[in-house]
Amino acid sequence: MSTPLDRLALYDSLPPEERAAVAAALADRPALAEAFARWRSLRAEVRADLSRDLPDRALLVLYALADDDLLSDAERAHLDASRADLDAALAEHPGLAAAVRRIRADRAAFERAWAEAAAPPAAPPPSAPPRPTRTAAPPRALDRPPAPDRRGGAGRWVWRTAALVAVAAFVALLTSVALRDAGWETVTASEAQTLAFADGSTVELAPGARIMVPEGGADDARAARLLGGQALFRVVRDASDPFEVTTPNAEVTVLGTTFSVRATDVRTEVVLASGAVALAPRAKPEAAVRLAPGERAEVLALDAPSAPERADLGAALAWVGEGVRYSPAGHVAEQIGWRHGVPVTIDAALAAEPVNGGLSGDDLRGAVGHLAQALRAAVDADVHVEARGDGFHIAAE
Amino acid sequence: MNPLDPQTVARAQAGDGAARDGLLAAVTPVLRSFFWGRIGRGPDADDLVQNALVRVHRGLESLQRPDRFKAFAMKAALFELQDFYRGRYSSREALFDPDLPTPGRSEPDDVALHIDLERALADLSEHARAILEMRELGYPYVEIAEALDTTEAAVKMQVKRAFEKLRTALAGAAVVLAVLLGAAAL
Repeated sequence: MSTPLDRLALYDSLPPEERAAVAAALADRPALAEAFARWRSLRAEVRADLSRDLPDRALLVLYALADDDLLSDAERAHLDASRADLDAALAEHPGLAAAVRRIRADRAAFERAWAEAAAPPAAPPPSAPPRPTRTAAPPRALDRPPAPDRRGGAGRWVWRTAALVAVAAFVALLTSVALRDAGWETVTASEAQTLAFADGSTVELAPGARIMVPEGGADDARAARLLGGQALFRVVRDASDPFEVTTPNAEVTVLGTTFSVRATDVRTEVVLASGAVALAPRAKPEAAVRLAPGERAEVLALDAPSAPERADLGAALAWVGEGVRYSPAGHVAEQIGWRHGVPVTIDAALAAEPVNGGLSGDDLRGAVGHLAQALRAAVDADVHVEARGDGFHIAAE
Repeated sequence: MNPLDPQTVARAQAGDGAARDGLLAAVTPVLRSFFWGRIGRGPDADDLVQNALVRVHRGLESLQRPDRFKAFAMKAALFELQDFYRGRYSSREALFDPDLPTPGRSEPDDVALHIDLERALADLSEHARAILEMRELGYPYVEIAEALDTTEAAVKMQVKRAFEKLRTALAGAAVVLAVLLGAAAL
């Protein structure tokens, strides 16, 4: 059991509740508070000395790797320029020398992780009987050297207890994962596939896409988890209950719209065809950006989303083929014009009309004609195309 | 096709999105395994993986030799780990907790009970200094123990002794001061 003095000495490693208790106890013991204040000053002095003698922490890493030809020319030049000061700091501070040794151990751990990732998976062992667990060595952490066996009878019980705790933790993890995934089903699209949600929203999956959706179309769940691949969502508007799409590294909050999501473990790209979505890294909702129709943005790892920029909807959604519902037609005309570098305008009366159809193809005249054709079907009236300047204008009779 | 081979790296550098995604996807399990091994599994390790990937992504264009991608990724991981120890990922530092009371005369230049901190530091053994310095660099006690080839309990004992030594010196200084003040009053 630790004494009050122990807790003061190791204050920096105490959990918050114990720190609060220490602070309260000091209020009644001025002599101890004085000693503690001095202790803190001493620690601050250590920190200040280190900052003064090693202002650039990255140098420590470069120094640790320098002997193995792992530095770029620029890094080596940077290290060489600071070498004298760094050598002096290492001579002055034994903690820096120990940190260098630690970084070299980190480097060795990285090499092992790289080798393990590159190694082919081990073949399953032949059908030998399982070895008794009593003689099995406990698993070692990646970077730990093998420890000498100091276990006596009591030590065995420690290991057994540790093993039981590890098993319990693993079971707890499995349970947690199972609870998290309860009520969800995972779908892997071997070919293009459309799934429907209870609220009428749909998601069209590209071949290879993996997604988790509420099991049995649970009517209270407006959410999906895109685990990887590409998908096109058409979400029914419900301002009071946003639809949420999560990927391994991002969240898309949807307010009723059509948009495409392409996800890998580390990158999520969203292209918005119509409506509005907010895109944010997971666990950082405050970093969200809001997309306007025709825009795209991406999240790399946990970085903030890229600034929304104009998307080439035709190229981004080409994988869907015909049948994409773009709304409104004015946005489609704008997209066609932007893609071909000429103005494509449309009567105000037609601009808000939703139309169906893809944008793929490089033929400007054909794309404008298809849009006019789609509008004819949508409004059941004659719609014609006229040349206007360098571009085209779509008008109703 | 190996997503980590120099040709793929070069394509990723040239802007090939598929090559870049493949590269990042291939290095992800390496980073995950590395950080799990160093600091254990948890949200911090996940953040380290993601931010190391960001470093790789952002620095990729400046990589002069695609055949050195492993060293490049390694440095991204090591720099990120140092940032983690430095406290970028949390409000770890607590030595100057503003909530703590600082009663008494605690300014370093206090004349009445002046303790020369530099001298106090010089009085510490090299082993104790190494521990305190590593701690101020942000390493947890368990990792300090590994770096110094000892046990966590032994490391903490050294810290407690250093504190006790300072406290004793402080008490001694107070006694000396009291004696001096008493003599002056006579």
